[in-house]
Amino acid sequence: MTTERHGTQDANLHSLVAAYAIDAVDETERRNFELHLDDCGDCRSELLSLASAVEELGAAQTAAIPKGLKADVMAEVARTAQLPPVVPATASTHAGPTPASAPTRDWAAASGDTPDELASRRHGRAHRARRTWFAAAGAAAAAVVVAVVGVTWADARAQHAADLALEKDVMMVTSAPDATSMDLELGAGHVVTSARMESLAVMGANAPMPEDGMAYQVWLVMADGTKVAGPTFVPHDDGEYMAVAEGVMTDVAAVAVTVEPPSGSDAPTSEPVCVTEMPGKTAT
Amino acid sequence: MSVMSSEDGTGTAPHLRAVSSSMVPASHDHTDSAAALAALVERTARGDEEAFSALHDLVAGAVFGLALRIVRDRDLARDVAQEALVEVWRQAARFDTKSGTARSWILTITHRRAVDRVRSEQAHTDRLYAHGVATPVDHGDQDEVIDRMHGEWQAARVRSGLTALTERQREALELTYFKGFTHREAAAALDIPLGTAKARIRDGLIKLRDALGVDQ
Repeated sequence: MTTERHGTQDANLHSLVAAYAIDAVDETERRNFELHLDDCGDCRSELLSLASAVEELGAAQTAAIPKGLKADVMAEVARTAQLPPVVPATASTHAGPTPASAPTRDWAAASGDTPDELASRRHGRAHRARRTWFAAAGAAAAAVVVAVVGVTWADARAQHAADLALEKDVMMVTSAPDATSMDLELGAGHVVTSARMESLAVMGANAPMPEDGMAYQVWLVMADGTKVAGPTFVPHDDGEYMAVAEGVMTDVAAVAVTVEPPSGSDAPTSEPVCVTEMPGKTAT
Repeated sequence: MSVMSSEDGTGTAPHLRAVSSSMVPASHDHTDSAAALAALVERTARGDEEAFSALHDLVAGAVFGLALRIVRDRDLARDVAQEALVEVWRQAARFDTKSGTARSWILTITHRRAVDRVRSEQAHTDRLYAHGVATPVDHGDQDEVIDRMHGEWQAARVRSGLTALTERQREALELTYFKGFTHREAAAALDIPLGTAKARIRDGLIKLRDALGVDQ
């Protein structure tokens, strides 16, 4: 919950403006810089002042397009849904009774899901919600012990066996009679919870690769704000990912994903790339 | 449609709600085409496929050319261009006139996707090796791509802008913007401190901006 973004780190971030303007930053730097950009008018105006030069650099490469490109683009467009505008953040009350709807919309505006989301977001940040850890108010269910099943993709030899075991776990969760699915804004993802199975599964496609050598880590955010470490995972080459965590679902207020070292962290060391709040997050 | 609110500070893009782009008054080419493109993005944001088709015709050459320059393979560039153009459709409602022109936004999406493709196709160590310290800029490939260019005058403008840069600034922009190196990788490839790499990128862009006479 503590987000230290001052002092020397800010100085470093200031110096990244031009590199950011031409995508010469890695994923972590990009995320940090975009957070910084929300607070720093100097960087925003410098970024804008460089935009024309970057635009000319890019536009100067104009070439004749391949035959059929337009037909393909138009055909794909005809079957592609458009994203809604990024609207100013509102208080995150989502009393809606439909768990499968997307209470993560505001988070979607603030969290990194696809590279293109980020690319476009830099142009829409005036309306952007600040990303923070979700902290549920209300009665805290403090002493919750959560067992966590972790899966990493690192060991190629164990990969197949791990895949099968994981798929089985995922099946157990997703096929539970009380399984509930919610959007997870990491690529095109979702999180499925089952109170009965005392488990949740995250899965999806088109997730961007974390920075070299880093991994995603799942966090279970409890009603009192405690963050319980979940499994780490790295998407497959095609951007697909899966992970399963066990815990008492009635005590979980939100599920978050951060970028961490591959061995995982005991406490998050970076801001979440996405957060999904649980509906009906009443502590028992 | 709050993202397209009329309080934008650019002063160049008239607020063309429900007004066809053909009604943009003609006076200055550059300003007008920027306004027309912004209007097309706005109509696209409302699901207007006809507007998107017109938008496509205006930017597809630049999108494909940029993708080709970065990924250097026509088939791959075609994929990247298609993905980028569909992203423009998908994200049209999130375009914000306050953050630059529509073309700038579209090229940013394209560049980002092309660079992501390059970075995922090759381990960065491969690239460091292939483009190591002694071979700063590959003029051969650059010429090959330039031969295929449509917008020669634009290219000439940029080239003349690029000649205003020091060789070192140009090299830094070449490695980062066109080859997809991060500033860190560029620093390693050029064997210079990180701060120096960042400064060369920044100074290069500023000088390019000034040389092009495009004050924002």
